Amino acid sequence: MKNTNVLKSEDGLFEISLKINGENKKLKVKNNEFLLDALRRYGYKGAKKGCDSGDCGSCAIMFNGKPVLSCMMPAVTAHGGDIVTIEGIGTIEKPHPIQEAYVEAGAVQCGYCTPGMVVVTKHLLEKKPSPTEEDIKKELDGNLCRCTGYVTQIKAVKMAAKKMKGKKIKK
Amino acid sequence: MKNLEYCCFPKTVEEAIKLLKDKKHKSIAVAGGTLIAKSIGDSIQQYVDIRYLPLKYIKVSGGDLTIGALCAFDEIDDNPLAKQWACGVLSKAASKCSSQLIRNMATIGGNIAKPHSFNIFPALLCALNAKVRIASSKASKIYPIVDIYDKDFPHKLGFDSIITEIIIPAHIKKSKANYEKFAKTQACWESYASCAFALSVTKGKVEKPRVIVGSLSPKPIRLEAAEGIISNQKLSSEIIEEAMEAFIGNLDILKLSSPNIAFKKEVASVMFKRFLTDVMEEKI
Repeated sequence: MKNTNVLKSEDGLFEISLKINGENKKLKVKNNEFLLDALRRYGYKGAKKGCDSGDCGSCAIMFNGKPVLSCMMPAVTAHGGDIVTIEGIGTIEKPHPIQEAYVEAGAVQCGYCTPGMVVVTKHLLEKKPSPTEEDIKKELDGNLCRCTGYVTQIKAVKMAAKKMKGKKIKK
Repeated sequence: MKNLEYCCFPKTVEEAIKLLKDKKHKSIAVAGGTLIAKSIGDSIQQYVDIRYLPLKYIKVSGGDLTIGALCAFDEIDDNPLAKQWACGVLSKAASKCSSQLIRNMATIGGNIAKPHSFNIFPALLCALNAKVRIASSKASKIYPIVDIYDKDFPHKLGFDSIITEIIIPAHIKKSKANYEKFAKTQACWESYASCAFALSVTKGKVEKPRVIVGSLSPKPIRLEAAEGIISNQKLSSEIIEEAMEAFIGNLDILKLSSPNIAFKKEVASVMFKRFLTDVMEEKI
C-alpha cells in the first residue's frame, strides 16, 4: 500500500510528527491518549480540559486550518497535521489583537474558556473580517462561558474585527 | 484503545478497504470521530483514519447533487450548491447540528453510518429520497438510503465497506423542503423531536411528498399515511388538519417507547402543520 502512511506503536506509544505553532515536532503519544492530554503533557497548557466530551470548547485548537475539539481527537491521528494552539497566537509580551480586545472588552473573568474562544474568533475573523452579530453567535456557539454571559465576548469579537482592520477602537 | 497497535492514514478508498478487510487486526474506520472517538473499545487494534481520502466535494454530476462522504457539516452549511437545492434544506440542516466546533469535525458520511436518533442527516436524506454509494472489496454499489437502516444491512454488506458519496436525485432540486429540530438550545445535539419534509407542487397539487420523523427512534420513521392524505391534493386548512391526524395516528401505531412520547408527537405534528401551511401560503 504505497500511499498509506502506517504508524506502529511500541510499548503502547506512537511517535508522531506534526507541526505545532509553525515548528516541526516529534511527540511520543500513548495509544489511548487524546490530543488535548498529549499537548498539555508537552507543555502546551493553553488548551484547557473542561468537559472532556466535546461540549464546552475550552480545548479548541486549530488543526489543519480549522478549529477543532482536541479532547475528541485521538492523539495519534494528529500525525502529519498542522496545529496552532493559543501559544502560537499571542504571548503575554506580545498579545494578538484578539487577545487585547478580549481584555479591553472585559470578556475574561476566570479565563478558563478564553483560549478556546480566541482560537475560534481568529478563525472567524480570517473567514469573515466583518462578521455580523449572528455570525459571531454561530461561531462561538460551541464555547461555553460560565462567568460572563457572552455579551462581552460578542463585544470583544467586534472590537477585534476593528483592530484587525487597523481602525481605532472606541471603548 | 489501549490495545491499539497501528494507525493508518490511507489516501485512496481501495487502500482503506484493504486495511478494513485485513483479518489479522480488528480495525475501525474513523473520519470526524465526534460520534465514536470517545467510545472506541479496547478490542480495536488498528485505527484507519479515513480523513485524507478524496471524498470531500459537493458537485452536480449527471444532474444529481453528489456529496462526498467526508464533507464536514460546516462545509455543507457554507456550500452554494447546498444552499440552492431543495430550498437550501441541506445547508439549513447542517447548520442546526450541535455546535460550530462539532460542525467543523463531523462528516455527513459518519452521521449516516452510525445510526443515532439525534443524527440530522438520516431523516433529511430519507426525505430527499437520497441514495448512498458504498464501496466494498466486492464492488461499488448505490443503495437507497432507507436500505442502510435495515438491521441486516451491515451483515449483508460486510464490514470492509465505506460510504463514499451521497446522491440527491435531480428532481429534488426544485422541491419544497424543510428540516426542523426542537431542542433545549440550538447548539444541543440532542433534540426532543426533529422532522424532515419534502414535496413538489405541480399545478397547485402536492406531488411525491415525503414525511420523515427523526429523534424518536434510532432510525428515521417515514409516515406514509400522512403522505397519502396530501398526495395529489391541493392544500387547504381541512386537508392539513386531516394530514396532522394521520401523522399522529401513524406515530401511534408504531408504539414508540421514547420518554414523554405524547409531547414529542405533538411537537412533531406542529412542525408538520407549519410546513404544510408555509407551502399552502407559498412562503417556501
